[in-house]
Formats: sequence, structure tokens, C-alpha cells
Amino acid sequence: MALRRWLAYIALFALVALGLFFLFRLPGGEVRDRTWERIERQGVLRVGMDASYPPFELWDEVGLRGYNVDLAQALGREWGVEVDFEDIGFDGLYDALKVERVDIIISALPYDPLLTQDVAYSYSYFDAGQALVVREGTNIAEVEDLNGRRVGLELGSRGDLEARRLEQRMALERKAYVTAQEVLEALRDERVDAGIVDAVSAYQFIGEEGGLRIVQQVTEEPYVIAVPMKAPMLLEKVNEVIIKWRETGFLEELREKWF
Amino acid sequence: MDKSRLRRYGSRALLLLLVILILGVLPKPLVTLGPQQKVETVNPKMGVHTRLTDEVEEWKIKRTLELVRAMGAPWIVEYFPWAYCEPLKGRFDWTHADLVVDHANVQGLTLIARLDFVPPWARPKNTTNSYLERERYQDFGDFVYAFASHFRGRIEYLIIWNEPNLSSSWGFRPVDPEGYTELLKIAYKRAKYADPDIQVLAAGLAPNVADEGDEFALSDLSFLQRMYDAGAKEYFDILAVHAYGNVFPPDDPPARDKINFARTELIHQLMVQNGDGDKEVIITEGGWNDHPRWTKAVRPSQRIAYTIQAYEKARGEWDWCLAVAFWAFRTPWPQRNFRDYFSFVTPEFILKPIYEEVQAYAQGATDWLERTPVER
Repeated sequence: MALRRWLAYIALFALVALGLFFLFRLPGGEVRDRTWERIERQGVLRVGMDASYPPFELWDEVGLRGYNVDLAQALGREWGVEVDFEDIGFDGLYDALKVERVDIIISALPYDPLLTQDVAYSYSYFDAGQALVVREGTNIAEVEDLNGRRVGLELGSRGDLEARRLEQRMALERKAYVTAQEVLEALRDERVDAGIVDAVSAYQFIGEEGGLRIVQQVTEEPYVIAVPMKAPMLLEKVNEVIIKWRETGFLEELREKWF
Repeated sequence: MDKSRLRRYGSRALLLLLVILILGVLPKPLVTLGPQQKVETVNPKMGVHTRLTDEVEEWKIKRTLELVRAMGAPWIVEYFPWAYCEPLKGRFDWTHADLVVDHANVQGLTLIARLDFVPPWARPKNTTNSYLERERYQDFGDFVYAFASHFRGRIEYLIIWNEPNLSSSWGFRPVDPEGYTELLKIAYKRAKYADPDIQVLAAGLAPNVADEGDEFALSDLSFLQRMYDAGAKEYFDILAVHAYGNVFPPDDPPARDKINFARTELIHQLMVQNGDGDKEVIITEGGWNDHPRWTKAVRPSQRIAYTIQAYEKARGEWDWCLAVAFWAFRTPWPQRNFRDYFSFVTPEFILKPIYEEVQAYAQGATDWLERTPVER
């Protein structure tokens, strides 16, 4: 009796599993993804973005533009679809994705491990963490070379925190400034030997003035693209494109254009 | 002595021995209160709002409070949700609250307890935890009485409710200054009955400029005036104030239509106008935020400067201000949004630069900018 009951349970379980398999898979064996299906069917990619963070996204006399706007449009071109932008406050972006008002968030979004049960994240396309910046031609290649050096930082910032931690194990001289811009100016003017500032400020300064270079990312703050949890095809397509862009140098081009 | 009596005594002795042995090998607590500490500071008005409500592990509670003491802040505000302390009507659980209070006392900190958060048994289904009907005000009064009785001699300050000038604090019903005053009267009487020495604080109001009739809020100044009109004056000893600096420095002049730190002065003026100028205020929330993208944030260096200048302003200029407890010392876990940028210490107990600069100020570095050389 017990054996027959167990066999019945196993048969029931197999039936349910089979049903779920067919429910979520297309005839060709692909995983079903309604978001991707809709993008393909309508030929439109709806992008959520908080357009208040230059140079990643901003409104000006030209209209909506920026690094992420170019990135989203390039994504659309890769897939042969139009791109519709929805300008949404940063705190509302995830809700917009959840209620399917947008298909994707491209908005200098930092990776958030606490949200990985709710959304899926792409590979990183930009690292906005703290960077070690030096003058061209300096022989400082990493933070270990900062012993005995004057290091500029923005007072109270994450770079300041990192410098304070380094100070506990090496004899660096911390030089605090009010903004990252001032740190980089001090570096340019040889008042410090290196600076630890956020990568966005560093790229902007280097793009405008040159003469400095980033030699090491001291901390990570990867910017990623968020897609709905139930959009594995879309995620796969995004990741494929990011890998391709890394290889072709498109991300580098984009950075050079906007910084 | 006959054999049966001998056997009986023998078995009792064995049982006693067993109990002693078990007690002897019981594990000792991993975290102890430790010796009594004292806060060393040049500014006895310094404080922070801690967030230990959902901090489960005792060592983290202790570590947080040790760091507050080491920073030089003698005051803390902490939240004790009614629903956590009285999960069933008349059945109290003080386990976690006792931990927080005892550790705070040993660290030499003065604790201000904020009370609200309606338990499910005291509100209708499908309402939020701030929904309290007038018929239930006595239940809250019972809780205040129980709280003040239990912590008599250990807690000297109670805040009754939080930001009642927001609709969300009424379970998304219209804000009700007269209703709040009634709640305050009940809570005040019950608290004093339990402990005549306890100091009752009227709730800190959310700084905002909303007009009468607004769906979500009412200006803090209008709300406070209506509280006075409803007879609140005799039912609080101190007024709690929420003083967020927004993007302005602490010496930015106050105005009715502006949210800044010095708005506290307008609140105090209103108290004076209502014949209540002898009472003190305590800032139980406030401060600046240094999120890189939030529109109400400042640069990290500004946050440090404004925070220290605000502590100094309260010490040197506001004799009617008893303490300034800034939001929020540390959260148990990252919020992953702008709220993380109010803190002094990360959830992993990494001290932010602002912590070290405030600590230096508390240790006497009045010219704190010179200590960290800032080139302009």
C-alpha cells in the first residue's frame, strides 16, 4: 500500500513539473519572457531614467541627452527597436519597473544586493567607485605606493574614509579639500602627489583638462541595468550587448564622449 | 534513622548536587554590561538618534552605544514600539527594551524614549501601525503607565508619538491637533502617575509648510498653535523638535516658508507667544545628509561643518535647547538609498569621517577644520 501511495505522489509531482515546464517554455525550448516578447512585438523598448544626473542623463536646451541616453539608444539599435524614455524620480524607478510601466532601468543605477530578489541586474557597464588618480608620468601605480606621499581627498567622502584606513598602515599625508574638483586641481598644481576621488569626478576633470590619469579603482560602485525578475531573455540580451561593447570599445568611446 | 528515610534524604541530596552541577556548567552570557562609563565631552548637549529597535544581537547594541559614548554624545533618542512591548493587551515583553536601556545606562548615556506604533490588537484590520482611534487612547495610556513604571529610575524622558502633523502618523486620516492633544493629556497623566519625576515630551513635528486643509500634512507651526489652543500647555514638560538642515547651514535665518535648522527658533518663539517660554526644547531628530544625488543633500565636508556648527549653536546660543540628537547614528542594515547618508557609522561599524570629526570636536578641537587641513 505504502509503495503504491509513494508511486502516486511521484507521478503527481512529475505531472506538475511537466506542466510548469511547458507553461514557462516556448515550443522551441526557449525560456518564456513576456517583457522581451512585448519589446519584439511592439518594437519599442521603454527605458526608465531619472534625468537629473549629468553627464549620465540630463535635460537641457537640446533635450534629453547623456551617457545613458546614448547607451539606451545604442541598445535599441542593436535590437532594431525604438526607445521610449520615461523620466521618473530616482526613488520611483524600481516601482515603475515592478508595475511594468518600463521594461528596463538605465539610470546610473548602483548594484544593490538587497534587491536581487525583486529585480535582475546586468553586468556592470561603468564603475563609479573611488579612484586613485595621479599626474601623467608619476610612478604611483596603486595605493601601496602611497607610503610617504601627500594624498588629496574630499573631506568626509568615501575617498576620505579609504585614506583614513590606509593611514593606519602607512605613513601617507592626508590633505583634505572641500570638493573632488579641488582635490584634482591640487593634484594638477603638484600640491599633492595623488588623489582619491570618485571616478565620475575624475573622468570629468581628465576629459576637460587632461594631464591626470586613473591608475586604480580603490572601491567599486558598479552601475548596472535593471530588468524585471521574470525577464531572463531580456537580461541575457542586455548582457550579450554589454560584453560585445566591452570588446569593441564602445563603452570606452561613450565615456570619452561624455567625460 | 531508618533505611527509607536515609534513601529519601540521599536522593534529595543527589538531586541538589545535580542542580548545582547543571547551574555550574550553564554557559555564561557572551555579552556583559561591563563597568559604568562616563561620557567625556566639551558639549553636554550633543546627542544622536540611535536605531536599535530592530537590532537583534546584544553585542551590536552594546557596540553601538559604546561608539556613541566614545564620540562624546551624552544623549540618545531611541524608539520603543508599543506593539513590540505589549504584543497582547496587558501582556508585556520588556526583554529587548531592557537590553537597550541597561546598556545605555552603563555607557553613561541619557536616554529619551519615543513611544508609538499601535499593536494589531488595538486597531482595526487593514490599518497601518499609526492608526489609533480615540476609543483606544486609554489603551495607549495604559501602555505609557506600564512603560514608565517598568523603567522608573532608568528612563527620565518620554516622547509621546511621532510627527502627528503628518497624515501618515494618523493611519492616513486627516491630521488632528486636537486629537493629538487629547492623547497627550492621557499619556502625560498616566506617565506622571507611574513616575512623578519623568519628563514628558510632546512629539517632534515634521518640519513642513503645508497649509490648513492639505491632504497629507499640516505645517509644524500651525499644528503647534492648535495644540496650544486645545490646552496642551499643561500636558508636556519639554517640546521635541525635528530640525533638518536641508541644504542650508545652521546659521541660515529661519522663515515660516523655509525648512532649515534654525526653524527651531520659530518653534521656540511660538512657545514664548503662548506663555510657554520657560520650557525647554530637545531636538530629537535632525541633521544633514550627504548623498551624492539626493536633492536635499549637501557635500560631505559641508555635512561635517554644519553638524558641528549646529551642536555649537545649541551650546552657545540656545539656552532654551537642552539637547540635540541628530538622525541617525547607525542602522542595523543598509537602507541602500539616501537614508544611509544620514549615519555616522556604517551597519558594519566602520566609522565615517564625520564620526571622527565630531569626536575630535567633542574632545576639544574647536577649530576642527585646522585639524584636517582644508585648502580653499
